[in-house]
Amino acid sequence: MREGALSTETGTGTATLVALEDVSKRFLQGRREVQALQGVTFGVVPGELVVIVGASGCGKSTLLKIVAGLVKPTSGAVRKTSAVEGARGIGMVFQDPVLLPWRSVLKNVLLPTEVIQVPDARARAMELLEHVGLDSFEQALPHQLSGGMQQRVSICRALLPDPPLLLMDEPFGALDAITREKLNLLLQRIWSETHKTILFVTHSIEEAVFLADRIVVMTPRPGRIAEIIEDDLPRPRGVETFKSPLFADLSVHIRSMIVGRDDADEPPAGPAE
Amino acid sequence: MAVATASRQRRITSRSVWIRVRRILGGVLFVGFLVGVWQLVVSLGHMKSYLLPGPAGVWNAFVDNITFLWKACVVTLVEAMAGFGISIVVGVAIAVVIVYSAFLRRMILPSLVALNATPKVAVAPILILWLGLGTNSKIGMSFLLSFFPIVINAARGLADVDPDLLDYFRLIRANPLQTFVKVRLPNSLPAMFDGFKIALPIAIVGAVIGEFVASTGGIGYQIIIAYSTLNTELVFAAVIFIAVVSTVLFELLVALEHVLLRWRPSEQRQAVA
Repeated sequence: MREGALSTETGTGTATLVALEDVSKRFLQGRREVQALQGVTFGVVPGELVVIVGASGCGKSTLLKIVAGLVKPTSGAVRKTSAVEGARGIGMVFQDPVLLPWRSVLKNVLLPTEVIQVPDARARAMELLEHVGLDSFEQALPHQLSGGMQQRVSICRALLPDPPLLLMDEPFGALDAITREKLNLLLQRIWSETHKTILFVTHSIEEAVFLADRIVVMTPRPGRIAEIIEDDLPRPRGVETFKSPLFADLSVHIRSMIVGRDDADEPPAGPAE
Repeated sequence: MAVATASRQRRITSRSVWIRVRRILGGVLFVGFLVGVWQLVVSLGHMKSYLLPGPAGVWNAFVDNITFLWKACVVTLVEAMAGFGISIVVGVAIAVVIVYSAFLRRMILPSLVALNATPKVAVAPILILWLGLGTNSKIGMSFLLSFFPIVINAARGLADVDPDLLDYFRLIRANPLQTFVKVRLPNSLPAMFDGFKIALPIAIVGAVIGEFVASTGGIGYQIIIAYSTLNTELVFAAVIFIAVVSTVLFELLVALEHVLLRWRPSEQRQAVA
């Protein structure tokens, strides 16, 4: 895959912040070799909100870990601009908040400063907490907060070093539907105010359509890209977005790709072949 | 959800104080009941005092001999605490090795399990032979009995970290020492305390067993002497005294656990109390 081809594929011609070129990943599960990802190629341009959507086992979380540099691809390349290299280049939010339960909310948000230099960290942490509506909870312990609040703390922690790229691995997947929609609105606000580039993984089609600039639809066995879809729903998106015909069209289109495949019923737990 | 308001916090505190008082009151009442049954058995059964002395006789034996019982108890406790302390240092060190190296784990763990399966009381004469009649052999016995639960629980706690949290620390390029100090060690404390709470009474048992086999002092020694002169009242007084002292030490450990692990949700804390 040529770099020129990549730029056209992003549809904008702008230089990509991160580009995956023909990325494949195989790993051993017991004695069986599992093809988690095959020939995945796409790029993310600065400021873009890209959502990867797919059934469980399609390798989307593995893909995110490859972008983060936590997992090495078996073949293919990950190109990153210098801005996203290094300890401050990438922030990450996981499905569980993974906070340190013995630390206060504020100390959790400040955790990255103990490993990397962040200027004006304390003021910045307070500002972030205020931004997500948790400024009166800075001395609370994580277990005193609801799941949605904990996840907001986790987002603050990821944003504290001001990384250009934010990776989110099903961050709202464990929350109830109402909290999830509220956090989608919050994320949209954070994204539009901070101009972060966000790569977001979900198995919720509605969440993907609601949030994304572009949607990368993945199918399992092996995990590969079925289609990359531009999501042109007008912004800012809100409750009324759900009744838009375009929202319905996109959702049905993606659903037919993911759910409609006759081999996609009952996906086994864990990565499929 | 959220942080308790001041008044709610007060209500919770006063309720937990009441729960504590009730628990202690219940415990004391039950001890009274047991002593009553004991006295009843002695009175109705016309027991000879060298077979089963009554509570009053035991109490008198205790009061008459309090100075030397206390001295004997201190000897035993010093041995037990030394053994317990060595167990903590060696046990946690082995746990760290086991958690960080799969190779060493495979090498060491089978021997540890075999050692634990050995009836360690049978080793006591050999320890006396090697370490002498004095305190050293008792410390050795106490260590041998108490270190296994510490190794197993510490290893469990050190290993049981959310993989996403470890990924996060890798993402911000934390070094292994930072990850150990900031995540693994504090995360392991609840499990470590589980181990300590199992090990502490066993450490005291180890010291007493050592004294039974051969010694020149300590509560085990005094029990043997009193027994050989058929002073059963003194045997009972000594046994009950060391039991009470062990219980106090155990409660001190639990109090330390409460202070150090305040960050745990209260229902978790009550489950172990």
